[in-house]
Amino acid sequence: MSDIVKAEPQELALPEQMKYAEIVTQGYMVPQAYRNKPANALIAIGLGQAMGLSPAESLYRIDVIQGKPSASAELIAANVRKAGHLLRVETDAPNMRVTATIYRADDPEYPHTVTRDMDWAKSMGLATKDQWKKQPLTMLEWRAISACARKACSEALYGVTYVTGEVETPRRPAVPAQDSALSRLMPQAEPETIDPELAEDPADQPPTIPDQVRATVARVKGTPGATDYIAWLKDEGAPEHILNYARHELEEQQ
Amino acid sequence: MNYAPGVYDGVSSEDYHADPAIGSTSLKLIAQPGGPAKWKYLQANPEHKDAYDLGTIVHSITLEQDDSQVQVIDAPDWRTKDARAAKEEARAAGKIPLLAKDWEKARAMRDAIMADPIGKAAFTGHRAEASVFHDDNGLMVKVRPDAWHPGLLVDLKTCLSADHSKFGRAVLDLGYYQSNALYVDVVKAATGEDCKFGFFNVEKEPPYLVSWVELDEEYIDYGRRMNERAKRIYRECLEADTWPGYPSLGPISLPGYAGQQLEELLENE
Repeated sequence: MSDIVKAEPQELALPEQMKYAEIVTQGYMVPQAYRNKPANALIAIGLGQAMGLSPAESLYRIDVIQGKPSASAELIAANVRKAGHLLRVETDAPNMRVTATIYRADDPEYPHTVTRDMDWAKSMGLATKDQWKKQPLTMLEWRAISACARKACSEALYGVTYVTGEVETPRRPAVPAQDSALSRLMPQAEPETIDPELAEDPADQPPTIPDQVRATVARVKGTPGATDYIAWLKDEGAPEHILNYARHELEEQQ
Repeated sequence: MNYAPGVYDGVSSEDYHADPAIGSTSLKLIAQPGGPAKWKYLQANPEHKDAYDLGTIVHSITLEQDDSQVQVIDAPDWRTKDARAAKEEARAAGKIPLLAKDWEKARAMRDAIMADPIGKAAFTGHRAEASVFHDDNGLMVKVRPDAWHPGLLVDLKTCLSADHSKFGRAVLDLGYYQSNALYVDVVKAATGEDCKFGFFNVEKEPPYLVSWVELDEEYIDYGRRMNERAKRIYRECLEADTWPGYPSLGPISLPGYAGQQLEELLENE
């Protein structure tokens, strides 16, 4: 009889993590987000270690964008199940709807449920984004799992509460005019600063605020509901630009 | 002949391409999977595509105002025996045969380029097609910028679409970001001149729209890294005289998007 022996990743002490982060972030194999950023890598390694991931695996499975860690939906689901909670994901393909339900280990009778559908995606300004057009059901599944996990058992997520893509990558700055090739050819000319990759996808044009969000903001402005609405947007995983808009419009009033 | 490191004017296209130094087109190919084997095959079996002729002539008449290479064939297409014979005759005489309609097109493209203020500035008062050779740690590397201004290199591209988004795709698919990096790096290494790089694009169909595109530093840096990868592979292949094709890898997994599609199909049975 043979036993399957699962190799457990070796835990590193903080000085070893720091040394590791300094070395690996100098290499080309490390994800771009961590290149020459040992501090970010150190955070990811620390978070990963808490989840039982090896240092290298942590760098590939955890992203740190705008100071917020995010991970794949699979990793978030694994953390939920590892903590002993029951996670069910129901996909309703014809209606483009995904429901995630978590029964906590310490309260197994009570379901925590989150449903995500395309109406929700539209209201959050996500539906026109490239990945949402290509694989909407997968994106709905990811968002349902992360929102449900945040709601039911955020303590099981080790601080990694968002799925990849939920935290938006900041837009790359355009080439400054004074440093362009065109300015060397025609000093008086203003170069176009369109990034071809970004220009290709209308969803990547300067982000817009959905009408539904604008209407709700107008409705709750100056009322006690303003704080609740911001909290709700945050909980629902609203994109950064929508959250910023709501905060700008509503918190100044308070 | 083998050129020594330096910058040369007036080198013919044939002499430049015959030099064994490695150029941008080769590095782009070698950097890709299967690239070494494909490169080796093309060295032994050089191919000529008629599709290149229009671009070559547009370059000549725009960059050097030189139409001496072209042999205009007065035929509607290449289907008749006479047209094909005239084409072969022109090639044998070292000329580039173009149908009359394509010659008209080449001149219209040149006119569209020069009617644009950026195009006119890019292709006036420049150093045309200088050949630059550089010894990169024992590996000779070469580039031939279309137009060279002080601190600026311009590449003229004839293309199906000069639209920024579509050209942006070509930059990635055809490795233009590698060309950009190689050109500025070799010119810098050979002359010390720090150059920016721009693409001036002209479409091959009326109304021959034009565009100016430049890449940001991050994109160029990827080109630089791909060039370093290609040079490393090339050195290893040369040393071992082995030119591998595709590697044998492990099992391929079902891509995530396909898994979702198949699951949906199976569930709907």
